[in-house]
Amino acid sequence: MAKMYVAFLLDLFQPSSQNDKVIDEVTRECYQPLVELFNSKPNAKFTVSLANSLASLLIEFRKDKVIEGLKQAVKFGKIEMIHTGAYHPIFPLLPDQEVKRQIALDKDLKSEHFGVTTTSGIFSPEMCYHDKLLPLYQEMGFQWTIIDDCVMEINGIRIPQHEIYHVNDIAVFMRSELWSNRIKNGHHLTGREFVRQMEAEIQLQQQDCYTIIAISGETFGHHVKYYQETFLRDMLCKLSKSDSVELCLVSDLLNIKGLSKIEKPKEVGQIFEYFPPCSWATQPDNYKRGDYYPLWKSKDNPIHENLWKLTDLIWDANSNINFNIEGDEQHSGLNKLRDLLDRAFYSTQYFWASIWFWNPERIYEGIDLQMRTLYLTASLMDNYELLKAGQEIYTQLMWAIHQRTQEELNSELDKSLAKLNTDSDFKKRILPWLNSIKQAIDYHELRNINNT
Amino acid sequence: MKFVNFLFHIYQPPVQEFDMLAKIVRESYEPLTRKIREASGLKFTLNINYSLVELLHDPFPQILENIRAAHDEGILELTETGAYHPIFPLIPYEEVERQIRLNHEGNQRLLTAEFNPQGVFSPELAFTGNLASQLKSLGYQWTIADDGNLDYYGIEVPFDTVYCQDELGVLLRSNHWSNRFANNDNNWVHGQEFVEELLASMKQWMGDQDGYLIIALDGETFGHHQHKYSEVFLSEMFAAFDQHKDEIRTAHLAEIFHHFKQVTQFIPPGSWSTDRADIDNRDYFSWWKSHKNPIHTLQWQFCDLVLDNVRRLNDKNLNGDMDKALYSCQFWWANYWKFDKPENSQEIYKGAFNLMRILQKAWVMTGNDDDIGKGEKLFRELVTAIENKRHLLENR
Repeated sequence: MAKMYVAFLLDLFQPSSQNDKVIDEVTRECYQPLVELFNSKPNAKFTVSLANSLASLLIEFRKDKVIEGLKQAVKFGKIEMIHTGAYHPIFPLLPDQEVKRQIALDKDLKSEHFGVTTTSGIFSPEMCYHDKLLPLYQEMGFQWTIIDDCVMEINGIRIPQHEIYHVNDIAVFMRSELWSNRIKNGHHLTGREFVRQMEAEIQLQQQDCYTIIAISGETFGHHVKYYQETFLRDMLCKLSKSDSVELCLVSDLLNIKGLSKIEKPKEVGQIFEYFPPCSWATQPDNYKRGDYYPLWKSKDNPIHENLWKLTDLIWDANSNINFNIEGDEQHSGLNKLRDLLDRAFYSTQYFWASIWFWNPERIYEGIDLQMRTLYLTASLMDNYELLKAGQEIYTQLMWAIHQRTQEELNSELDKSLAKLNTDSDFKKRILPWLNSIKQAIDYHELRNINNT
Repeated sequence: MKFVNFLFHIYQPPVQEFDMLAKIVRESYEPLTRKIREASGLKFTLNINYSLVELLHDPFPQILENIRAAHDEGILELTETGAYHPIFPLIPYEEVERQIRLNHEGNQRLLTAEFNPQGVFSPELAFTGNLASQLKSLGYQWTIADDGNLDYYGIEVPFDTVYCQDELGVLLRSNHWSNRFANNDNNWVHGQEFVEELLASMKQWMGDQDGYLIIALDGETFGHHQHKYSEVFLSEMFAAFDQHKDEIRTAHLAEIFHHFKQVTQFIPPGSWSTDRADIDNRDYFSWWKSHKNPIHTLQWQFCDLVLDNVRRLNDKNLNGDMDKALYSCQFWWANYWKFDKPENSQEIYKGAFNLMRILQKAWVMTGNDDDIGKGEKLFRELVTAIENKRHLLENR
């Protein structure tokens, strides 16, 4: 009988600028219950990516039960803790040596705090992929990585069910976009229903198959309340009685005899050699217009455009700095700069500026951190031109964010006004109030014009 | 006898670019100081901020040499001021004292060891009653204010007395005559035409009595702001004063202060730019801190925050940077009338980004994320407000 192997990869991440209140909340709703689930269910097996930034916050805010629980789960093989970028940057958009450094920092922390010394899998934050990353991963000794399957078919690449792609000895798994999104968005999907559907799928197959679900760990309990119970716990209960569906770690898939290894041939006439550049949020339409990482660097998005101009300016300026100078006062400045460079380019700041998501405060946090990095770089290098260039980008960024804020505000008000047309009682009560807000906005704009 | 005082105020901000400085030296400072140095028998007052002395010291020593020589020969009287041209009533008391001390020590070191002024030129002639008592406590005898605000309060402009407030002499600049120069609001082609008109006007006003009149304005008016007031005009003007010396004499402010009777009088707050609307709005320093100007509000909130951070840290280098960062121009360019072109935002940004650079340095030293976080929040509100106005001007 053919078997369906299901692997879950949970990405646990918070930016290093996250405040204690949010960490408290997410710990209570998600991290703590997840860890308890890992350790209490005999058949629990999960692959976990834990960003340094979050691990450091858990340590700083004394979430000892979570830390100890994760250690225990690693020790007893309930989870495999894989590697990632320490501060969750977008790997393909980072200089190569910085990708290596982010991974090295991650390795140090995992080894020191969780006793993880193996290098099995590497998870690129937001599953952002580019062919250039494969040699780096290989050089660092990783056995596998994972990419999303969302734009494979439009590029003529078959999504494997029984085989595992390899490129020069490194396995490249594919995340099931279909199932990952169904779980992520399916708030009412129960664990047992998921297992039933997996059982139905494998019944149609002659050979062993596998499905990899990769989603944010915070989905379970924080984004979707009590989802760790209604989905994960329910799934584990159902799986304990299933003969055809088995939960495993992603790394386990490499050792399952029924799943064969296939060498991925080089593509011809494509912009890539092996797999297209993409992320776990890239849709075919995004790909076709060249937006390979649409939530983090999208064309025609002035905030993204300027944010990346700033990022690139800082990386260019730092490309030739020797951070290994010993001894003197400059050494402490360089250490501080090195630390800022590690922390300043996390993915969330770009994410909240995307067309689909909007939170200016989160963008500002990123900009502030980048500007601190820029000022320190310019100060250590005595580079006034660098400062001027950064300042110009900063002013453009502030303007772009201001414009978007106005657009979002107007859009919300228009939506509310439109909605009122279908609700006459509410309309009577609220319409004058909404109109006065619109007038206030118009007045503000008019006053600015008059001030000129 | 009629006494006239010319007070030339010369100043450049510490962030001035060298090419612009060189142009101003060529067009104005060099001919002006040279003509003054050559004007033996005449008397003038010069206010030069240490900020400019610092800028001139290495590349243009001749300018300082002209001033030094004219001072040694008794032609020039020098006044005290704030080293980096802050608006005294808008900064804390201790900063006023600090700026005066820096100016005093700096000018003694780089300009002349004989720099010991009796009077204080408050930048932009910004005056409040509190400033008078503070200057008195620092040992100065007099200061200068503008006479443009007196009329509103029904106070007569004096010509044969010197007003005093809190025992500090407050000499009053003629707003009318000074601005006729500054705004080129006249038809004088030659220097002697001005002197003759001035003399006639003073006679009409003062009759046969002794009296005085003070003309105080930016030295850059001569040759830089107004090209018609070239060294030829200055030569003609100085020659005309010499020619009419039996009726009108150029005088130092100290001479006027001591010569005329001192009378206690309330002097209203204001600057040499305060107008009727400002008084009506109780917005006396509207060119630098108008409560109706959101950019000014944010500029000052940010400046105060950086100042507080830096002074708490008490680092010598950073304190020095902060002293320079208080210069007035950054606020001046943000006022309603000056921020009328998109490109003028650059002058506002010079000051703002300079302050942010200082805050960043302070943060590197303290590592206090809360302090810099508050500053960053204010700063982005400031930049957004400037960008908002800039884009409105662009799309006008």
